[in-house]
Amino acid sequence: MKNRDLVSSVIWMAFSGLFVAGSLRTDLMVDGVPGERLLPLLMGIAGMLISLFIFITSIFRQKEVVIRSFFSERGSLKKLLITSVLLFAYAFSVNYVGYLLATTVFMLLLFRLVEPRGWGTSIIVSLATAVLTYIFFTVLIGGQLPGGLFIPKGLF
Amino acid sequence: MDFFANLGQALSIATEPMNLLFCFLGCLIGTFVGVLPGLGPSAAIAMLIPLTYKLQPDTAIIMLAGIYYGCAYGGSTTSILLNIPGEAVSVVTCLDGYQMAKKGRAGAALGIAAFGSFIAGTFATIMIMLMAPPLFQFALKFGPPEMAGLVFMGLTLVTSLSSGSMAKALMTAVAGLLLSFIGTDIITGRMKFTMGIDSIMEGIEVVSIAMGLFGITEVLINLDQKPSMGSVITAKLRDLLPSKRDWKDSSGAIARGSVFGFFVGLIPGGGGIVASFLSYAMERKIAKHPETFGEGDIRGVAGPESANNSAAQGAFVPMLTMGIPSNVMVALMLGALIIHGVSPGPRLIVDNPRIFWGVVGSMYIGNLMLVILNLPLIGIWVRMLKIPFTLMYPFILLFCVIGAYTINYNIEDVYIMLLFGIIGFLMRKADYPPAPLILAYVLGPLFENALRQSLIISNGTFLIFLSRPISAAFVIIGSALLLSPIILRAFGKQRLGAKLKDAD
Repeated sequence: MKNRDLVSSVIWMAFSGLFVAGSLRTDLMVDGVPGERLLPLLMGIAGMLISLFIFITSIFRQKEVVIRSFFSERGSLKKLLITSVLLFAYAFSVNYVGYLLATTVFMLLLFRLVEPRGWGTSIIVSLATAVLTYIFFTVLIGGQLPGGLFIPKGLF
Repeated sequence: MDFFANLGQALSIATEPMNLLFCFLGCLIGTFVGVLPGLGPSAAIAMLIPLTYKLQPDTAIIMLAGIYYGCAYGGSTTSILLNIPGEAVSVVTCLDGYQMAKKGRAGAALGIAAFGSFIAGTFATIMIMLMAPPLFQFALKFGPPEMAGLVFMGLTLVTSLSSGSMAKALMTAVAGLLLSFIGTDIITGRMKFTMGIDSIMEGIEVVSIAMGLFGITEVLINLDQKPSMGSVITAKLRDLLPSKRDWKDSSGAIARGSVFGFFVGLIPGGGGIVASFLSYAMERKIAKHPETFGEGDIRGVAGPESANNSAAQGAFVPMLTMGIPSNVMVALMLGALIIHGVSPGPRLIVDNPRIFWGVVGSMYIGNLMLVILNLPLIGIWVRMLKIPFTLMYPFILLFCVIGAYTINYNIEDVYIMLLFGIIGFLMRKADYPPAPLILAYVLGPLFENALRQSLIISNGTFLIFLSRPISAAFVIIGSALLLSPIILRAFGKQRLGAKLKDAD
C-alpha cells in the first residue's frame, strides 16, 4: 500500500494544485467580499495539505506495510484492459455507426473476449439486447438513441 | 388529528395507480439488486435515474426510494443462505444468519429478518411523519451561516464515519467539493475551471460521476476478483414463519434496532452499515450469554436487520426537510429531484407536498410489498443467485452507457462517466472511499452559496459563523470531528470508521 499511497498523494496534490493555480488568476476579493475563486483556493490548499499528510505518513509507515499485488487475479489486467478499450471504442463509434450496430458488436465482443461463450449464443443475445433496448428506450421511454446507418431519422 | 389527516393524504397519493406500480417496480428492482452481490444500490439508482425523466417527480422518487430500501431487505438473503452479503449493510447478518442456516434454521433467520425489517421500516415511517413537520419549521429559520455550518458538519460526519483512513476520506470529500466548483458561477455567471470544454459549462453531471464511481467501478472491481460462491442453503416456505420462541427472543432486539437505527440514519454518514454494526455490538453487550453470538443467535439477525432498514428510512428526514443527504443513495435521489426541477429543502412540504407525502405513503406500502416479495418468492431469489456475474456485467455496462447518454443526449457525458469509472477503480485499489466524493459534490453548490452569502452579510469576516448560536454549534461539532482522530489517539481509542474497517 505504501507505493499506492505515495503515488495517489502526489496525484491528489497535483489535482488540488491545479485549482489553487486557477484560483490565483483572478481577484479573490471583489468590493470587500469574497469572489468566486476564494473557496476553490481554500479547498485547493486544504487538498494539498491533506495529500501532503498522506504522503508523509506513507513514508513513515513503510516498515509496517504488507505488499499486495495491484491486481487480485492473474489475467485481470487483460480483462480490465479489453473492457475499458471496448467501452471507449463503443462510446466513440455509437454516434457514427448507430446504436444498433455499435451495441451488437460491443456486446458480442464482451461476451466473446472477456469470458468466452459460444458464437451462436453470443450473436443471438447481443442482437436481441440491441434491438430490445432500442425499442424500450425509444418507443416505450420516448428517449433518443443514435440511429446511424440502420434506423432512418424519425422512424420512431 | 393532524397525524391521521397527513396519513390519509400520504396514502391517497401513494395508492394512485402509477405511484403504486412504480413503488412495486422499485421494491422489485431493489430486492433483485440487494440479492445479487456485485451490484450495489448506488449503482442501481444512478443507472435508473435517466429512466425517470419522463415520470412525475413524486413517482420518480417513490421508485428510487423503493430501490433503496428494497436493497436493504434483499441483502439479507445472500448473507443468510450463502454467507456472502448482497449489500454492505448486511455484512453483520452473515455472522449469525449463516450459522442459523447451517443448523437448519435458514427459514427462521429469513423470516425474522423480513418481519424485523417490516416492523423497523414501518416504525421509521411513522417517525418521519412525526418528526418532519417540526423539523421543517425549525429549518425555515436557517439563514446562510446556519446552512453553511450544517453542511460543514455533515461533511465532517461523513468523513469521520467512513471506514478506513480519515485522511483519505477527507481527501475524497475535498476532491468532490473542488469538482463541484467547475462550471458557471451562480452569483456572477462567469465560467470557473471549465478549461474551455463546452459540455461542462453547467458543471459535471452528478449522474455521470455516480454511474462511473459506482456502476463502472463495481464491474471493474468484480472483473479483477475471482467470484467466490459458496453452497446455497435452501429454505422451505413453511419454515419461514418464526416460532413463538423466535419472536420472544428477538422482539427486544427488533425494538431496539428500530429505534436506534432510525436515529443513526438521521446522522450524515450514519446509514445502514453503521446502524447494523452498532446494533450487533449493543445486542451482544446486553446479552446474558454473549458467547452465543456468532453461533447462530437470532438476535444477531433481528437487531442489525431492523436497524439497517430503520436507518435507510431515517436517512430521508434530513434530505426531505433540509436538503441534506446523509448517504450516497439519498444524495442521488436529491440529484434526481433537482433534475426534475424540484428544490429540496425546508419549503419542500409547502411547495411540493405531493413529493413529501407521496414518498412517506409509499414507504408504508413498500414495506408491505417487500415482505410479500421476500418471503413467498424466496425460491426465485435463490435461483437468481446462480446467475454468474460474467453474464450480467455486459448488461450493467450497457445500461450505464445508455443512462449517461440519455442525461443530455451527449456522448461527452459517457466519456466523463468512463473516466470516473477508471478513477473509481484506482481509488478503491488505493483504499479511498468514493462516498464522500459524491456527497461533497452534491453539497458543494449549497455550501458555496451559503458560505459566500454569509460572508457578503458579514462584509467578509468569518466570525459570523461563530456569532450565531446554531451555526456556531455546527462549526464546533464539525471541528471536533475533524480533530477526533488526534483526540481519540491521545486516549488510546480507535475511531468508529477504523473499527468498521477492521470488522470488514
